[in-house]
Amino acid sequence: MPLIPKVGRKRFQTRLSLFSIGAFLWIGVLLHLFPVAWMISASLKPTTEIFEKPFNLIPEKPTTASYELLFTSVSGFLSTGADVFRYPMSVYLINSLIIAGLTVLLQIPITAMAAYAVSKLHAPRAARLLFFFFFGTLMVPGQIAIVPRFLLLSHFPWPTTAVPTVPFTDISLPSYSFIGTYWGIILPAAFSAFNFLLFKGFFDTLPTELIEAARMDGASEMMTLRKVMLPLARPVIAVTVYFAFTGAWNDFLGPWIILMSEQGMWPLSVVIYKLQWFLTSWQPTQGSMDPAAQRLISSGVGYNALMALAVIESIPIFLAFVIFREQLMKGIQISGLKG
Amino acid sequence: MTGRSISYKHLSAWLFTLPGLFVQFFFGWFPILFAFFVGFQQYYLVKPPEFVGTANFREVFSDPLVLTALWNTFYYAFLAIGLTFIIPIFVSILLMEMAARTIRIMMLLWFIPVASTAGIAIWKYMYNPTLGLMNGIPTLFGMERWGIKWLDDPSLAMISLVLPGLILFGPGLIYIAALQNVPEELYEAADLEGASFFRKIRLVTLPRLRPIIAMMLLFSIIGSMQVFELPFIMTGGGPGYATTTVVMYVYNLAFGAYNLGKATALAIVLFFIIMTLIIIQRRFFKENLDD
Amino acid sequence: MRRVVLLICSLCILLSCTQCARRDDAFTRRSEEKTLTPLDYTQLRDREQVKYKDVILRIPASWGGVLLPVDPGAYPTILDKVVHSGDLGTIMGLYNQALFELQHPRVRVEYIHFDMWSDTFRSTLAVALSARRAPAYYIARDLPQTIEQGLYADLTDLMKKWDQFHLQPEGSIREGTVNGRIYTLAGNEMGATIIRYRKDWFREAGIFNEFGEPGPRSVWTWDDFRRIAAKLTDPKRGRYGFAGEMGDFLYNAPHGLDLYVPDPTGQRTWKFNDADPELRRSLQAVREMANKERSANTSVSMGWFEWHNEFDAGRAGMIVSFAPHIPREFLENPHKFGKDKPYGETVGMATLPLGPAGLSGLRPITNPIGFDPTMSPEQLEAAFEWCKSYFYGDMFVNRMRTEAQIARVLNRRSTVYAEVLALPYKPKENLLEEPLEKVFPKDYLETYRRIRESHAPPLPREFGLKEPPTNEYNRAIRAMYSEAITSNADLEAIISKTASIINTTLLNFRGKDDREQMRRYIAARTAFYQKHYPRYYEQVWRDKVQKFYQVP
Repeated sequence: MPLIPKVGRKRFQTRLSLFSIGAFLWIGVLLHLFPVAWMISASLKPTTEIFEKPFNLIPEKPTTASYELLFTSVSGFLSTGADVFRYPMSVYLINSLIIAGLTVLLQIPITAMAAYAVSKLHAPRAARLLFFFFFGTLMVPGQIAIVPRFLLLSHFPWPTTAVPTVPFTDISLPSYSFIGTYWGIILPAAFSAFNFLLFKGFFDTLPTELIEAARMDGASEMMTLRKVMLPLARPVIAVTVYFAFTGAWNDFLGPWIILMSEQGMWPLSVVIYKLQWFLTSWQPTQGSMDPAAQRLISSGVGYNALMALAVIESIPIFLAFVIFREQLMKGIQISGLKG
Repeated sequence: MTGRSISYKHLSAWLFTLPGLFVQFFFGWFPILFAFFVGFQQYYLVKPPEFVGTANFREVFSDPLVLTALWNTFYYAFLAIGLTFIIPIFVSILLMEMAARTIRIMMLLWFIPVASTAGIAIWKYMYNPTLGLMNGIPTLFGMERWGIKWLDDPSLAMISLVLPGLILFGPGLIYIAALQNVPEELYEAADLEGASFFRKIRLVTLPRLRPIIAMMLLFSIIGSMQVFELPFIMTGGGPGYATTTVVMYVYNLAFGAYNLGKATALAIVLFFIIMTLIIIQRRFFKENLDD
Repeated sequence: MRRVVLLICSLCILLSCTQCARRDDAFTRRSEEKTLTPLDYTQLRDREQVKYKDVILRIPASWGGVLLPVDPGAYPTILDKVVHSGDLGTIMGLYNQALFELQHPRVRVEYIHFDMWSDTFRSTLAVALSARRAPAYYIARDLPQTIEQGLYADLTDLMKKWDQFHLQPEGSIREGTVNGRIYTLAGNEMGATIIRYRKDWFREAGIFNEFGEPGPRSVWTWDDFRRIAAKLTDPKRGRYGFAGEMGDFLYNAPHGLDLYVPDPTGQRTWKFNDADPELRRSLQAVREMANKERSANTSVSMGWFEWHNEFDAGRAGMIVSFAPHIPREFLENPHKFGKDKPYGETVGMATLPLGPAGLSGLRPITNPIGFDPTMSPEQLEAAFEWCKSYFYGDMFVNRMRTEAQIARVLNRRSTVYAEVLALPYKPKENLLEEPLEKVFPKDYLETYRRIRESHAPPLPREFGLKEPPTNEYNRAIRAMYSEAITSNADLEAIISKTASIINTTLLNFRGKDDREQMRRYIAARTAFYQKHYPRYYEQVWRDKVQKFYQVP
């Protein structure tokens, strides 16, 4: 509304410019929706159509065969499916939900508590130091930590390939391998510097008197946080939950490195990578031939299954966006990210 | 009484901080600091690691692929920021012109999210030389296919990687949220002075968006210098080495060749490059105009 | 405070000592006992049986084992599901498990999940080994570096005791031998990289082999291949003569082009072979096929899977494929191309084309298997016995019987024929109801005959020479070829760039006694060519050794 003045809305020139802006935006919307529509249409095609008539915009014989293939487990002797389909898609879907859900459940309280303490409870000097400690990693490229984090997770808490021993003996110190467990992905994501910034920005705007008043009533700090602060923070919580959820859902490199060998634990992002890898990049090396790949080649799976997977993977993200949209806008506005 | 309450307050303050402190220490700072140790080590699959001095760094600097990867990374960051960074900003500004109801619908449609690996898979399908739509669009109108080789052309491959960013993804919501906070009086005042459309964008909208643009730019520099999934899934670094980025090379060295030391040495080099960029960006693009 | 810490520490140490002592006890007691026969074992009580099984064998489900379905679905229990859904494969897996445990009373077999086919196989395996979670055996990949890194147990002694040792394909033995010690066991599906072609296209183009059937002659050359690819190409119908990655192996092996040769300066063991004119011809050939004749469809964003789909969709006349795949598909999916186009009359297989001097790139090979090096000798021996039984022994026979029965019930061809066609070992019993000649088309049998008769040249690793890391080396070579195909860059520029990358990052090492080893290696190559490819030896190899294989 603001750029084009309210007065003189009926003038032809104003109308034309409004119309052209609208047209531009709608074209953009169409362009944007096109890949999404293509994804859905391809997921409804039978495999033969994908390969023989690749450019049909609307499937000639729409079928849900690829979804059915994804949701039935084809393990066992009679199957011709690939390793990717050893588990029904519900297993992968649940894995994704577990990872994203636990990340949200852990990350939001931990981050909110830390932000609250830094904003309201700590003495100024400690708060300053802690603020940089918590938020500093956001300003640092995280790629440097890929290898050390892998080493750390493989023999927690010793970041090495060989666990140190108790001095002068052969007994190795206790260590735990997070490789091949959900915790290897969830724990590193249990605190988010970005969400910390959002929470801190919000708590800073709240007047200290609120806390004082609650304390006067004899409420403990936990009670104050739960009963006074959090109800006010609902929009911010919505934003942080949204970011935490989409972040965990979209994460690929983490699960890929940690859960590589545990197929039953893969989230959807890894499955989709693996399927497209089978479709497009898989090569036998040195005569070693994955029997599963041989079977996949025979089974006639194609891009329709891949696109069906993409649809399945996108639905929760889309739902989260639709549900949280209004809260998101409010949350962004009242938190530290405002303009 | 006061003494007790202060110590109680401190105790609970630290109790509140502790879980975050633990996670941020072990998974935030510790791996970053430890990288500077890993970079000087040689790792073996079954033996304990050895300290090898600067050997890893010497290998990194003598490796011709590192230069290629660095060049590719800069090229990608340049293209990604140059082509895709501005679009959500302008779309948001234009979107604000629409009626309130249209804004709500359009916002949904413009910024509709697709899961990240799913988005990459769609585009890989679109670029497929025989089955992909990018070459097949003309056939919809009964014409010959375009003979553009997209991902198979070394000079086009990187642009093809960036292209989906033009119409997919984009943190537009944040800009809209910021724009809704701009007081209307400012525009009305500008109207009274008879400012034109673009002048208003320049004088009113952009300065108001400046802090948030600065922040998003920072994230976008950090993010695009560390791009991994896009080339990893789309091209696997090819054709030739045309899309091998630094982080992809780090990944290949670490988990393909199991050369953890050299991989980390390369990561350290990239770390310093990105930090330099960040410092430059902070110097030239202050977040707050009032400072 | 200090005392408490000391106390706890000493307690811990004491505890762990007693633990060790107890384990030692159990070990000595067990070794004193006489080993039980299966009959003795069955007469033990439950608890004693459980106690007696002390050799644990973790069998990967993706190779040799089975896993029960993850959820019972509509059935009350998982076992119900297996029984009522007719999942005989799973039941056979359990049956074989029980049978093997009965034959070897001390062994307890556990089926586990282990993904051995992913890209980051090495780091996965390293973590699994250090956590003692690795399976007893797994595919041996990235040879020979993984052998040098100690990922596989030494099998030399077990191999020498084995009566079917010599039946392993020559290529597999060479792959897994380092400095005279053997580290891998050949799997039971012998194959080779071969050409899969469309018989109907060949008939249309009028190309027939010596049996009078459409297809290339069983002895054909690279030039034949290129000419046929051009002839089958028809842009109007969207047809390519060949689809696939234009990598090095199609051209290089039959032309005898090695991409690394001894470094004449003696600073390193190897150097990139950038001087050989054959390398230019190789790059030029693939470039022309892809861009000038347009007879080859090739792309970075397509893989084997899609080449096969291109082939099935009728857009490619020839593709590179893996030999065992075709006979199996022939039996499993006879109507893949429609009722009127039987598989055997549509899909043919031929060995790779030969070079001008008659050199062949055909390598008989199977999936090599490595064994967990952290296992005890008993475990290793049990794992080896398991493999023998699984590959051609009792378990193999059981599986094949089941497969034949299922096929009869479902009224389809049994895949036993394909298994037997590709089997390098001698099975315990004859499993075929009719001879292979009646089942398969002539070209399949002929190709397999040629695979079995082919020979693999010696590899540097057998003589203790270090080789460049396989994965990275292949990636560099693939990048060179893909650049030659996709860009217009000068070939010399591409070669010199690749040479600098490979020389500085992959070949920057020098072995200790590499000169002596190199001499032995080259002598072995010479002897190999003299024996199996005399024409190549006369015409090419003698000159080549003089020019490119000079040991300083």
